[in-house]
Amino acid sequence: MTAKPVADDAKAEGFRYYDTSPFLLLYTDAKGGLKSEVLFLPDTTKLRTIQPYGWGATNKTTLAFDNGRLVKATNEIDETVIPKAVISGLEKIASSAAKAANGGNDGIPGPYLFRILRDNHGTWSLAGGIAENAADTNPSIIKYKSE
Amino acid sequence: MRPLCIFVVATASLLFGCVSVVTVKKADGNAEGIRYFLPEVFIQVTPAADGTIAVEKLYLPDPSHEYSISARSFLSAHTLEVERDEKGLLKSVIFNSDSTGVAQQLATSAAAVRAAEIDARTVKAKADSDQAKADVEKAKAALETADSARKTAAAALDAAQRKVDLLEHLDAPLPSDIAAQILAARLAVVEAQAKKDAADAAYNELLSNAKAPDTNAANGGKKKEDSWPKAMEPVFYRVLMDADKVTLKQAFAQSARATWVAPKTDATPGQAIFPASIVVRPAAKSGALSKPVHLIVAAKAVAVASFTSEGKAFGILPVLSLQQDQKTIDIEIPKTYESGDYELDLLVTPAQPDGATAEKRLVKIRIER
Repeated sequence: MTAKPVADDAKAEGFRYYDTSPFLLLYTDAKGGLKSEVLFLPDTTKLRTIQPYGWGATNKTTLAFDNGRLVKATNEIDETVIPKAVISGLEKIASSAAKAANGGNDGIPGPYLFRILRDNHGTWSLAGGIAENAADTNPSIIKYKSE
Repeated sequence: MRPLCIFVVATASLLFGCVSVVTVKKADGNAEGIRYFLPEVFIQVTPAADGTIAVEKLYLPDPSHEYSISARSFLSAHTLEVERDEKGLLKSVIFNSDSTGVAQQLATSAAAVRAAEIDARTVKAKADSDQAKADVEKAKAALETADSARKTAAAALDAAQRKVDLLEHLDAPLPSDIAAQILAARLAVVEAQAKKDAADAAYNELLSNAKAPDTNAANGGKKKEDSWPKAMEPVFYRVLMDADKVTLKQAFAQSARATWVAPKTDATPGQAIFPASIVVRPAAKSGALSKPVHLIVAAKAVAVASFTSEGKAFGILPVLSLQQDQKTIDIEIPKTYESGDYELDLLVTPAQPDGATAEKRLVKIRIER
């Protein structure tokens, strides 16, 4: 059984799946504060393939998936472990950015989503921002009252 | 090099005895095999009328990442079990290649997989059809039952009303307890009316569910949807990923959609007050402002929750007296109150069951001097 990144999806073989990456989701609690969740989502920039085959003898392969992520196959799970202290620190950074950007009474501010990144020096950071409108890049406002 | 390659593969097959291979290819329109999708990730935000939101992850099949699975064997047998969820996303794959049964099982596995898929579709289509028929039969039976209950309730109401008419128009000599009999008959009318209203409501709800909700003759052909209250639909954000960042992009503009407010169910006949509106005039001699109201079901206690007029609350409250029958409440309003419309909120504690909590009931009062 071999697993590898997919360079050309049209030519690749094997079961495609996405590796998992961590993200930070922030949204209003409707009381002037923010709620946050760390999400492990299938990362669409990390398309991979795993190819089972039988050659010469009895061979049983079991693969389990969850929403496009491979969750059962020996040595194939690479779910980044983020220390709690790091999560707490990232939440504070993201919350500051979110509060600064909040405002207006026309509706509910849309959620924020950040990719949690770790560079080669072990430094954690966030990349992302508030949800955008369908038609442009302005912040999305959620209406909660009909006209 | 080609002959050499073929030789190498053939030799390897002979040496090792068998080969079983699962092939997964990007699906086009004609690809055979079991299809599955990779997901597209969304964040769904559902607003409530009070300004709070519920946020959920949502995985939908991504049509640009659809694949087909097939398996084949050479001098071997295999089993392939593929489990998908209702969205077409892959849940599990069990691939079991076995060379022990070689000659007996030169199975055309791709064909077998295809056949299994067709069988599964046939079974599902039949199940869907059976379910649809069962649903129609069930709805029809429920409607007939509700219609029958509605007619029974109407007949009971008619009988109760006729009894009141009879008692009120009896010729002399009248029985000594005629007043009590008339009161009891009126209470029975109220109870029957409440039951009929409930039966009508149940029938109409079933009927509206059974009909297409797009038009309403009572609205002169106006769409029924237009007459319903509106609430804002959820917002779907597509999660767009780059290697070094992520963007939430609203998938489409948010619209208001029809909603519905279920009728309150606390006005059961048992707790009704009769009459719900009274006119009070000063007594000829004493000038007292008093009038009785009646409960359908016995109470063990009554109290005033509030006494208001046009939203203004008054500190001097009416005096309530629950009579021995536990169903008659005498309301005595202080003489200082002027003519006008008032609302009296009562807290009524039913006699049964033990431990029953007080329920609010409203009596509208008009004082005329």
